[in-house]
Amino acid sequence: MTSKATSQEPAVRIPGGTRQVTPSGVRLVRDWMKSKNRNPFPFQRATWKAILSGHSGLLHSPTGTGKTLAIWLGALADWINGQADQQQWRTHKRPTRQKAVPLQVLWITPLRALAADTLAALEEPVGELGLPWRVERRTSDTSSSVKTRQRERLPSCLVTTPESLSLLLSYPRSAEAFSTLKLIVVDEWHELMGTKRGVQTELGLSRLRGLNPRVMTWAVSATIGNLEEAVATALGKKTYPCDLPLVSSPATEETREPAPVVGGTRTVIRAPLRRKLSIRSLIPESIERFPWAGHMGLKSLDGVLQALESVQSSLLFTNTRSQAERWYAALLHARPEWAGQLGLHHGSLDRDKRKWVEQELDAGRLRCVVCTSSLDLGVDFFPVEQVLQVGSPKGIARLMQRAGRSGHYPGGKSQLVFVPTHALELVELAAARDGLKQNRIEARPPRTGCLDVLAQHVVTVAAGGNLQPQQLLAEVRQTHAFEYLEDQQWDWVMDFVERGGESLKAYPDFRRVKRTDSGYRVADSSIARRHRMNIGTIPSDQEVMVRFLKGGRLGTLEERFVSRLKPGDRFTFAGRTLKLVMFRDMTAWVRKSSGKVSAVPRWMGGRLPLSSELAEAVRNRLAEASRGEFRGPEMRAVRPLLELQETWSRIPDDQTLLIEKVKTREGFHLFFFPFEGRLVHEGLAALLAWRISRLQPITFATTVNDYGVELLSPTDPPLEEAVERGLFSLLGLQNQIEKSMNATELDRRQFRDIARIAGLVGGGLPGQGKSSRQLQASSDLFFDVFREFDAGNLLLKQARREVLSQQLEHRRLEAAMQRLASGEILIQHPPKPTPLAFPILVDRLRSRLSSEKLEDRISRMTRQFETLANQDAKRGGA
Amino acid sequence: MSRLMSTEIEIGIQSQLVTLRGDGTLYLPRFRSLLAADLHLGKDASFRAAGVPVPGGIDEVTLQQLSLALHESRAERLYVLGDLIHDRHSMTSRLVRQFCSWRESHPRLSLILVRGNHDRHVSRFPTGWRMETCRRAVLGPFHLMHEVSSSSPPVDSIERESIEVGGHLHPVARVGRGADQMRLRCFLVGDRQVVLPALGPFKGGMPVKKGRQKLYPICDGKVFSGMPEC
Repeated sequence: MTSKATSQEPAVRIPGGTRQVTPSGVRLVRDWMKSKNRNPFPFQRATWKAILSGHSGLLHSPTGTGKTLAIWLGALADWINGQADQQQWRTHKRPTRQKAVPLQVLWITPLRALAADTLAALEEPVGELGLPWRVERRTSDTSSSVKTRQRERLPSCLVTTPESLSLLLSYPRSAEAFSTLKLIVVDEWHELMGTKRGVQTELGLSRLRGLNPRVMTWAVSATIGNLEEAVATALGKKTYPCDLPLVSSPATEETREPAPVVGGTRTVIRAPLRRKLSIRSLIPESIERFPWAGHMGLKSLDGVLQALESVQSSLLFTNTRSQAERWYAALLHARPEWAGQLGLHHGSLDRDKRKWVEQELDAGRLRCVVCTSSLDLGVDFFPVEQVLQVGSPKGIARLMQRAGRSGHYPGGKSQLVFVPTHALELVELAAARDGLKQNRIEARPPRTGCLDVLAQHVVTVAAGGNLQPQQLLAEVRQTHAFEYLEDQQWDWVMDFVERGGESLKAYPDFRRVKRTDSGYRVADSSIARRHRMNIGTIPSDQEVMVRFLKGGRLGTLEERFVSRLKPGDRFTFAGRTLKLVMFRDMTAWVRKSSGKVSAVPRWMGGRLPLSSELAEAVRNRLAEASRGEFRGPEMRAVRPLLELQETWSRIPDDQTLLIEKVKTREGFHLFFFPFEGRLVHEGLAALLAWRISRLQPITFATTVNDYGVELLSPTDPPLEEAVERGLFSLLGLQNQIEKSMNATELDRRQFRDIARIAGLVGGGLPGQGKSSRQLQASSDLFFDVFREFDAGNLLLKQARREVLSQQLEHRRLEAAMQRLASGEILIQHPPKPTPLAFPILVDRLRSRLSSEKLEDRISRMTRQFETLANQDAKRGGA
Repeated sequence: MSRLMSTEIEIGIQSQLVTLRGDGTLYLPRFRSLLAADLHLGKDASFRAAGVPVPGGIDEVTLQQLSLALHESRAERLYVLGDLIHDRHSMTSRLVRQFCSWRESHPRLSLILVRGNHDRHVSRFPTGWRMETCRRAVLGPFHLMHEVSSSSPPVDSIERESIEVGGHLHPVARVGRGADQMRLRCFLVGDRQVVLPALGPFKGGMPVKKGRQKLYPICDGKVFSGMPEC
């Protein structure tokens, strides 16, 4: 997005436009908008024109309304223009399934919860314009009778999720069903594109384009750092009619007018930022008394209450679900009179509970909703005046997205109040402000080469009819994810679904997909059924339903949490105090309770690492502080603390790696402060511990947070010697990381998702009851069996690759090592743990990781035993 | 040294000696009998038949382990405590042949299957397997069965000394904590009960907690004489 706009006109120019554009469709939809007292924005008109010209493209805007209508009215106008007689099609009532216009638009949304809202927004103009269209949705919530009818004849527009699209493709006659499709819309593409669901969507789209090459694709995305990749992933390599280089330009800042520049058939349209954004922090009155560490932030409760009282309606975002539960309870405790005006919203709550909160919020009846990223997406709630963010947003895009959830009323302004949970988070916010100002929005790197998703897709296509390998391969290679798929990988995937694995001998009697004269097909209908049940790529931890004994569902909890509870234990969930009565058949039966709570549930997924953009901004802010510059209220507030850091040790600047060595009663602590985010630090911690222990046998307990790494040992570690002998050397990095991290265990964990997506583990057959359990095995078992009996299995290699790229952020780690290796190393010996070190110290009390792995310890015990035994034998023989 | 590991451990139950072996089998010296549980032969084939790719070669390893245990213990009799076969898709002709030839390599061994719930899929086993089947077997005080009773065995005057030995549970012990946690297969030993771990690769496990029963985890062919402290 760096090229300057070459055109002065805001309108779209279509080079060599071949279609006769009749304006009647546009006029109709424009008049409809005007009848609603809305004037089409320039970006909306630009989108209509692009769609009428048959272009594919991407529409991106910071949060805000109008994106849906930009595309939808374009699609409707296009259809109207295609009708011969303008009067004939008008209808007063919703057409029957048979009479409705056949499938025109497929609208893919990342969340099934969004599908209902999208549906309502799409139906409004259809009904009022009297179009003979049916708009329906199809998600996992749709009843099976409706699904069956939809399969017989799809509605004019279908709102669906990536999983439901794959399912549709897995039924026979899908080619016929999609033959009339004109337009695919991928909504909130930024949410999908960095995930395996994104890859699944890419494959689904490539299949649709394979079935119907003339179909247009429009992606809708929030602002992200890699829009080019967003376009490439959503639109694929080739989009009808030809593939010309993508040209686009940024919106002109002065006019805030979109300046879409069209190159070939791909258009990128930028909707202008419409609302102003104001951010303020709840600066603690006395920074000295404000905690140096922590993650709940309840210390700022009074300030939060004041902020909530100052407006009618607020959203309070927390970073984790357990934080949300705690904050909800704390607010209700402080203001019991707010009962009924407070809502709790997070992903594990029952859908009905969430829906109620959304409705009440929309109606303006709630003062505050405590929520997690579950409310990051979706329709805007007009009453919300301000957003409070508890704890660091960890990324610039996330801060922007959340702030944008407020101020949707006319003339409104997005307001964000930042609630720090510990003092140093003020630095993170100051840094996030810089990032926002400089527009350094994080990228969402798309996933590539996921063979598990590809294997699933191949079976999906085979279930849908005769699969032609060469044709499918050509389609698959049109996607960004598999653009560079090697022949050998493709052959392996085909072998995997046809024979089980590479070698025919190792997988006797295997059947899943079989070759026939007319193409590949699924071996039998029960395999197809089983496959359909397990389509999808969403990681699912074993979840336990929480229900009242008297009836009523509350939501879900992770099994690992529930299995630790005993009947009678009290815990908070869904904003209530509950007592566990029994845990049976994956359901936790509870009763309402009161009194002392013994546990707040924790969910995995855990804490997000600091994004590299924000991490860099933090380093810059600290570098300023090291020069004595403290800009802005946050930095001024945290100044005394940083000055103390400077007195005891040093404030690291961007050229230096600060290492602090402190001795306490616990032992010798080494603190390293690379400020690279916790994932990178995890890899780094293991690597540093491993390298030091090569000089001298020593065991470390390691802890990390977003700022740094702690290595704790009972004996004095040879730090200076290690630094001299290349502690930060780039030599042998990857190999040593794998060795030091116990990569096998990490692979095993990563393999869980892969095993499910590739169809190794999953639910049994419907109606088979108990006997289907005989086909269940855990992914751990598969992992062991593959390692022992089929070590060349590419899924194992994929697990390793994902561990390196996703878990350890290997590239980032390498970049960090490069930075550290070229910078200056500063070793300090402060009298006690410094303000920077303190949060890590506290973190250690919560999670302890030993550098020596259990298997090693067991084999060490074995060796010890054998030595003892040998000694005994010698003694006996002597 | 209470936290020792060994290739086998002798323990006394109701003043009867039994040997817990590091491969997960149990030897009764007084009766020269080796006990193994939950082989689930052909489990891989059942998975493959349902379209789940599991590599072959697993049954070979299971049977090799059994041969080694027979060789080391010099047992004259082998009791399989149920679930020899995984399900009806497991009895492939390959497995039938494979087991026959395994059986031929142990000509003097008598083989008794105490039927388990999975074995119901096979009403008659091939004659070439030379295997007796029964619901329960009694060896002096030892009552061999697939599934031991959930409550303590009835204490009546006649069977006061009886000890139930079974499988079915596939017990595993959780060792270590947090990210370090490992699951090790284990023997489960109560006052009058012993439960054997499942034999061979590709068998799942059910975590058991240390209660009144004692756990003897096994790992790499060694059995721990108690829960290792890690």
